[in-house]
Amino acid sequence: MKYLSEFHSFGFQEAEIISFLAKHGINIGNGTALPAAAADDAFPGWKRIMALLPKLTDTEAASAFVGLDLAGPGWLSDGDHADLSRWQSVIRRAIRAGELAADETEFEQDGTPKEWSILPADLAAWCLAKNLAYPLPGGVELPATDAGLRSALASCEQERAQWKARAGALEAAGDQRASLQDEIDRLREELRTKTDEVAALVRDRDALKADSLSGKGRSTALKIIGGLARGVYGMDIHAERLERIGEMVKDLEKAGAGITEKTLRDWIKESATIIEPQRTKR
Amino acid sequence: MSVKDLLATQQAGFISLHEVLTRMTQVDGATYQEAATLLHRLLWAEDENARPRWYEYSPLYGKRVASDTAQAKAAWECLRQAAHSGLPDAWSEDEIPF
Repeated sequence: MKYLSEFHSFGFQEAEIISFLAKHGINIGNGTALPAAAADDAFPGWKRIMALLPKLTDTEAASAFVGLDLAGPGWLSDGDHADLSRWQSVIRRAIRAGELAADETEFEQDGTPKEWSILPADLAAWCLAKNLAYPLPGGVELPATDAGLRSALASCEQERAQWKARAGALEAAGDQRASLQDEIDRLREELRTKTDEVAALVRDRDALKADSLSGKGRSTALKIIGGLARGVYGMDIHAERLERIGEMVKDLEKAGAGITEKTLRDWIKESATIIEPQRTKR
Repeated sequence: MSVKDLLATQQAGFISLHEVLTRMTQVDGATYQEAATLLHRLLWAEDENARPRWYEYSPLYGKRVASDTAQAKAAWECLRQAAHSGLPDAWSEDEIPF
């Protein structure tokens, strides 16, 4: 059996349970305007001093919510450390989510923010948006506009910036896609041209192959050409200089089988490779 | 820092179960029992690491996390009892003031 005294002894961290219930739509926080801050003299001295700071670090803000004087004497218990860490996590995530305005003041080696600087007015606006009691004494002057609207506006601005960045990225991707499509079209055209060229070359090669003599037929042709040059025109087909080749070219032309002198010379020279030189009579 | 300041620091941020349930009854006229039932359900449904932790406050020891199993169990018993029976009796026989 539990009695009322135990219901007074057990409880929660006020900000935690208010936030938890608010998440489920139950508002047991105080006040409707600025988050309720008790009379200044209800706060410990360190909080009254902290309230004078023009800016708070995220750790200081967390300590204010937990109610821990980090500069005070003595060691923090494991529970205090856990509370502090929990609130630091809440605050940092709120900052990253754009719910709480803050500036990075220190960075890790990899460039990630290590510490944040928060204006008391921004912290108060966030408290109001989350229905949390502002943890420090003294009135915090909010901008003339309603803090809730200001918070919502900031959220909308952030969302707009995110959509704008996304649209920019998509646009850039679209440009890149168009550029790549142009390149593909160009390469496709080039490939078509090359294919046509290859086909033409294959045709030429086949035609040349059909024209050319090879094997025994070629040997026979060479023998005929070399034999005629030697027998009819008396040429020494193995000599460096081919005598009477001009006459042979003319005769061929007259016979309707005109070829160039160079072509004829090449064939005669080649015939010399398969026709043995004549032996000189002694 | 004064003695009063240090004492206030120890209590700062603590809200009793009774205060929470009382405030919940003020939201829309729910009963103490209904408030306790709902709070029990909400806490029980939440992941253990995400739900608000139980604290114990006493004038002698100040505010402490009810990390000890027996303390947390006693806190849960308070809430369950309120869910079953509503507002508890003010005093046990041992606690009746002279």
